[in-house]
Amino acid sequence: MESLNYTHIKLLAFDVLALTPSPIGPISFSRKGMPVLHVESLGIVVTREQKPGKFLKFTIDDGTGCIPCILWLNQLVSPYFSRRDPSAVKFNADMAARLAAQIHLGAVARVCGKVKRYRGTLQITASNVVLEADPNAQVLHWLDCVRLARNCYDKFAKNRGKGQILC
Amino acid sequence: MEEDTAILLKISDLIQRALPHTAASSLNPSRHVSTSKPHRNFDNNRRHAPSCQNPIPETLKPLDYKAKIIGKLTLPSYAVGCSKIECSCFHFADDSGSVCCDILDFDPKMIGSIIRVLSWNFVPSLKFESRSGKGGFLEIITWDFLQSCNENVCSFVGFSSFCLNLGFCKVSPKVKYLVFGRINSISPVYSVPCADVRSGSQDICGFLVSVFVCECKFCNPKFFLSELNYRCVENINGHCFSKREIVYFCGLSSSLHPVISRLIGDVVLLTNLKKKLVFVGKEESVLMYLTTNEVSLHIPKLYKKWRFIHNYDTRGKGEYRSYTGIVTGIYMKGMVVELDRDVMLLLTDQQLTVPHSLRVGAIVTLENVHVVDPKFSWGKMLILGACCRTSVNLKSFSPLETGFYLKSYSPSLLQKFIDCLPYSTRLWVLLVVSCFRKKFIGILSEKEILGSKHKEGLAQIYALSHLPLSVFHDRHGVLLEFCKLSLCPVDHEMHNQLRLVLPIGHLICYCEASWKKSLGDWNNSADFSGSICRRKTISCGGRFYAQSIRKVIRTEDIGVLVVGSLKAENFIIIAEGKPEMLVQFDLQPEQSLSCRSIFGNDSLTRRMKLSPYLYRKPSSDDSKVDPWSLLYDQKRNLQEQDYESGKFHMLLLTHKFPIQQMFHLGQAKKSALFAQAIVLPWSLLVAENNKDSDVTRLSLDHLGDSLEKFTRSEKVFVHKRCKFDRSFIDAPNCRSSDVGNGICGHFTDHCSSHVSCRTENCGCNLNLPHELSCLVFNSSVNYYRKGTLQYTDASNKIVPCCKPQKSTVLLEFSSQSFSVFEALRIGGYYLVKHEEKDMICSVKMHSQIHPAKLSVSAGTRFHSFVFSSLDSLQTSKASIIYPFRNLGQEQYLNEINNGSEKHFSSDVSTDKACNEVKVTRPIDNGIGKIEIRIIAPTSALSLLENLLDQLHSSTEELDNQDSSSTKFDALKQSSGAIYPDHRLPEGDLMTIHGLVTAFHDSFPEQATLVQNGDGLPMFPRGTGYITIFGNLNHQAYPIGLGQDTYATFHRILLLRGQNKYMMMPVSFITINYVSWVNEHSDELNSTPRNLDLPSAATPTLSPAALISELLQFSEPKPIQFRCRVVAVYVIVLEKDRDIPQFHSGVRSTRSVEIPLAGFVLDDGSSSCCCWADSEEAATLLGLDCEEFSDNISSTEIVTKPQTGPWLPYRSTMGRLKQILKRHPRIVAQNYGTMPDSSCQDLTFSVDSNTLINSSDDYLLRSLIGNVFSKFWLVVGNLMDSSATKQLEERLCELDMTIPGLQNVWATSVTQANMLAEARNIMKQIS
Repeated sequence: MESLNYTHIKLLAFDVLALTPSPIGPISFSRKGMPVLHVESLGIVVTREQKPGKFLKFTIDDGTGCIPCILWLNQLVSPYFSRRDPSAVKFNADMAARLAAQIHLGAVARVCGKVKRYRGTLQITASNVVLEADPNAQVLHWLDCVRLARNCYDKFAKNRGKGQILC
Repeated sequence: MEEDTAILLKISDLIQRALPHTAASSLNPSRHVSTSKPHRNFDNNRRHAPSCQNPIPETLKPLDYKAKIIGKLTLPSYAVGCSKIECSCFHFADDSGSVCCDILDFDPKMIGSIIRVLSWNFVPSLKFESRSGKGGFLEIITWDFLQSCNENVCSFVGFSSFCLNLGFCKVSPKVKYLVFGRINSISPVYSVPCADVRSGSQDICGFLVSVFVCECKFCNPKFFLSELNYRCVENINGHCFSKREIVYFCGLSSSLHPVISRLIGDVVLLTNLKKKLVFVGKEESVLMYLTTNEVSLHIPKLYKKWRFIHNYDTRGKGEYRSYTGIVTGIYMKGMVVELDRDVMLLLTDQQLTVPHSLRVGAIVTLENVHVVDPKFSWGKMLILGACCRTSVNLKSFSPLETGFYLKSYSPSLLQKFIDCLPYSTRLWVLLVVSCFRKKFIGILSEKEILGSKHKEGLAQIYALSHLPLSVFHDRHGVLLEFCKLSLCPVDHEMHNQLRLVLPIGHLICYCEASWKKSLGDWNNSADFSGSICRRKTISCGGRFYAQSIRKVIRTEDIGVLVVGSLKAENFIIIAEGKPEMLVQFDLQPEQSLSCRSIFGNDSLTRRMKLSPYLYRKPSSDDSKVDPWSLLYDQKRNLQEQDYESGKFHMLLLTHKFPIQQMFHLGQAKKSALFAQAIVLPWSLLVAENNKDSDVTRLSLDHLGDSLEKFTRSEKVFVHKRCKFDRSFIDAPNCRSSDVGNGICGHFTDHCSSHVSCRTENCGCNLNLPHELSCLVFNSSVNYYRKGTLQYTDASNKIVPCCKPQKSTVLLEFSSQSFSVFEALRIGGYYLVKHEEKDMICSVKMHSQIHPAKLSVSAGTRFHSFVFSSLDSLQTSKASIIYPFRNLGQEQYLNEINNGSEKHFSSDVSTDKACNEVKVTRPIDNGIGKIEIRIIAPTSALSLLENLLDQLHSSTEELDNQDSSSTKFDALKQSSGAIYPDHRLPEGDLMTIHGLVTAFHDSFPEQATLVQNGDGLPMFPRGTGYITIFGNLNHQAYPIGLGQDTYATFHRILLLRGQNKYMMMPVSFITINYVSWVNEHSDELNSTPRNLDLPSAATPTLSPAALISELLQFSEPKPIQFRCRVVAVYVIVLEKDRDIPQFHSGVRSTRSVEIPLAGFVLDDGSSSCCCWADSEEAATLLGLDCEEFSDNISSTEIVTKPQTGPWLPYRSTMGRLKQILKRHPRIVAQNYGTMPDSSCQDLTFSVDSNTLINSSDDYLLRSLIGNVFSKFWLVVGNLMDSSATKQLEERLCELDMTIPGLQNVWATSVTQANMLAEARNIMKQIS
């Protein structure tokens, strides 16, 4: 149970969009009773909206749905980062800016981040975005999602009811 | 009434006309041409219509009138003393002349008769001149008797249907022997020396006939003649012709050769023979029959139509067959005759006489020929080996206008060499000869290639070097070989080892055809497999571009070799192109490898614009062979002497400029080759080879003793001299860079000379040694010599500064020195021999001339060198002596490299030449291979290192002083300030290294960025992507640049204000590594390759599992899981301590140590903390790739310009090593929440008192940022309590605790292959 808090749950878009709010603790969403904090999704970038120095909003489409994502670009001005190591903040800002430049329409992006709700809509706040060059990455992600759902996530939900934790 | 109207032609008319023609209009169409089927028939579809060499021959022109020739058919005559037998043809003569002839429908009775030739072919030749006539050859197709002149009265009228003799047919009472039997084989006419009492020694002509006789009582010579008249049809079948007898026709009777050769298989009676014991060897004798001048040949009536066919003589090692086929080609002056396109008849033996009518298009029957299936790996064929028993008979004359067969005599060493080989090897040698002639005919003379009577040619030397002695046969002459079947040169089983030497043109055609075929196969296949790797269409800027398709052809698979100025054995060939280059042509790949194409004069024409290139693969053999064995360089000795002793200048190559094509007035293009180098302020003095001197040349056998002796004295020398005066370092006014580099040190003793200087600017008191002793190891000749590094600045004065003077020179290479230019590597150190008043001396003397230009001629030698530590040699002495002696010098050098080499530049390394592969890298001048090692004490090396760093840093500082504007003058001139109306690119020049993931033509909207369109975006990739634009018309791109190549882009422009990179006219690209060459050779069944890293193979057979399943395994065994790194928990980086490290039996080349690293892994099912040490951690950080690919810099990491136009690229590894010099131990710790804390919560701590600066901090974060983007296959064990405790202790030293995750110790880390993984999951879930 503890380990899943640190795990990026691999989900297809329809699963992400179907996450339900969780009433307890820091886990704000759940899938069939399994708490979901971090997710990993992969899809083609189909929309893109950037506010330089603030954020990049984009949507990825994996064939089962479209997931809104946000990549923050405000590290250098946000008070949230003011207490952190300036060199680290500078590096993260540069990295985010570079990522934002690379996230263009049609690119296949793997997005890892936290699931959050903004104005009633689920979105992923990206902590890392990887642009995949290998076309097989999409197929692999789909298969990963199916396998993990069958062998891990669904069992988690089932056993949670029985008081057992397998994953 | 044909006779009435046909014009009678004379032989002289035919010769004077000198036109090939046919009188075939008078042919009787109902005439049947006998074409007895061969015993080994081919399928019908293998028999092609006669196809001839280029140009396609026309059919013989028929005369436009009816004509006839009347003449007499006579036997050839061989003069006594004739040693050269040209042919054994019948002669046809009239009162005007005589010509050689062949008769299609031969009847023995026509000999000596006047015949009327009704139809014929005549092939003239001005060059041909036989004993009987000159000017042409007559092929008699139909004829009839005009008058029989054979008026001999036969003594056996009732028995014989035909009687031929040289005088009168009579039974001589003195000559009692006769032979009645079936003719089996016949030797060519040959001459043997004959001792004659009256006339002395003379050559006498003759030939041997093998006759099988019957041993029944009726055939006994004693009763034979008396029983002749009782022979009838009933009793002929009772004979068994099985006993072999040899009949030697000599003297006048040798003229019967053309008759006997047409009676093979027939039963004949030979009378008036003698029987003699003939010595055929030193101790061997054969009882054989000899003909007399009264010999008579009789063809029995009863046996006339009763030919004994299907007679195989399979005794001994040879196997004789008959074969009938169409002549489709004649090559190599008649030594190779191609039949039916895929059967090669070898007529290499000098004694063989072949009918002139053996022309392309003729149908020929071969009797008693050896059949060999060579099983060459490069082509299927059948070889027919002709020996002294082989006879050639025409079944149909060629209707084509092709030249007649003319035996050429070549008493060269090459001919003798070929004659001693088995048949398949003969063919291979002939192919080598043909190939060498095609390749080198413009470079070398025919004599140099083929050799002469007394000297071996290049082709023979090459062939000899590839053949074991066991394949050679002794030749014994016709007599012995005819009598003893076992002496025929049958084959040894070494066919697969004989690789085809292919002309480059054929190789290119093969590549094109093979590429086309593969593409066709792929298109016809629904599967994703294929030996080609098809690229997806990539999207760039909203448009799609087709990627090129690369086909890797392994020369060992197709069994070919490429020989040029270097011989390439361990090479692969890459054919690469785009589908739109596909054009229609019917050339099959195997056609390029066929004997026909290699022997033939027709050159294969390229149909597509593919540019195949060779790629040399390193192999284990590389360390065992002399690097010179790759080369054909007859000047080798001169080169060796070139750097044996004397004074050498030292250069650091900083840049190479792209090759410029320049037009001169009315002349062809001329290449302009330029490079830039820094002249180091030292000279290397290598001692003369003087036997009387103390230490000069150290024998390899005495290496150990000599080294000890040398180092003992050096220890004192170095120990005393290298005391470092810290007081000067601590001087407050000294610049930090000087302090760090220790250049202000001075030596206090034993220096041969010192120069002191005090610089007013910085207050440094500088004592520099003028000379440093060293050992010079020459790797090509295996010896050590004593040398001296001599500081030679302008006029030997020490410059008034803490930095050495830097002299930059521009090297201009002549077009003849192209290979020298190609072999030079940016960042490499080179020695150039000093010459009296040479330009480099001038540069040293006048360093203010900046930059100076030096012309490099073809004769200028550049010898790459590296520095090695003497101390490290001492410490690992035992380990270097043995590999040095037993495993070869190169391996020794590699080990020295990996373990203890002192790399003077962190960015560039010249000493990897032995390990690395370069695309199309010429090594004909040996620059890349000949290495000189300057071995000096470590302390002295540190001094040199620091001085070299000064040269680097001075360049860097210069560049950084004004980072807003480029230092490249040309670019400055093109800035917007001078041409305000033009928007010219501005930015910083930098060096980038990365993996090229796509390479394609550009598109208009982005091409505007490069002004002239035709942009060439490329995508080098580190952990992210960048796009580099170039211009196909303006830039020179190295061969092989394309997808999956690691390349370094020197001096490309980072456009100011944009995240875009642009190729400049000065930009230079080098290819460091090609990732796809080491993959499994059978790509047909493999999955598409991993595009990211070279090591993509599945590492182990460990069971694959999810991280969440780790605890379910009862036994602690290695588990493999595919995961991503989501956070770094801790990384400890340390400076390498010069200790050779072994990993998996292979010495590590890493110069950065990672004693401990912890990464948080996530596979979607759970997370764990993965602990790793150097090798696996380096893999995850991408440092292994960096090291392997020539100290590269990552595009992801290099985010700001760090190099200027005068400096070689600074790699990540190079910079990391620089950081570790300042801070020998760096610990990166993570204090954040794991999943979100990629890099933002990392803190870096160092042991030294200084703080890590922002630039270093940035680079370290970039380095760590590499790990987050990829999928890894990690094999590891769940750590048990003991291991966990040890880990806890180590973390405790770092004030850290074990994270609350499963802890796994990684034993193997490789990058995951996505398609393979997807397939595995498919199997699991379906």
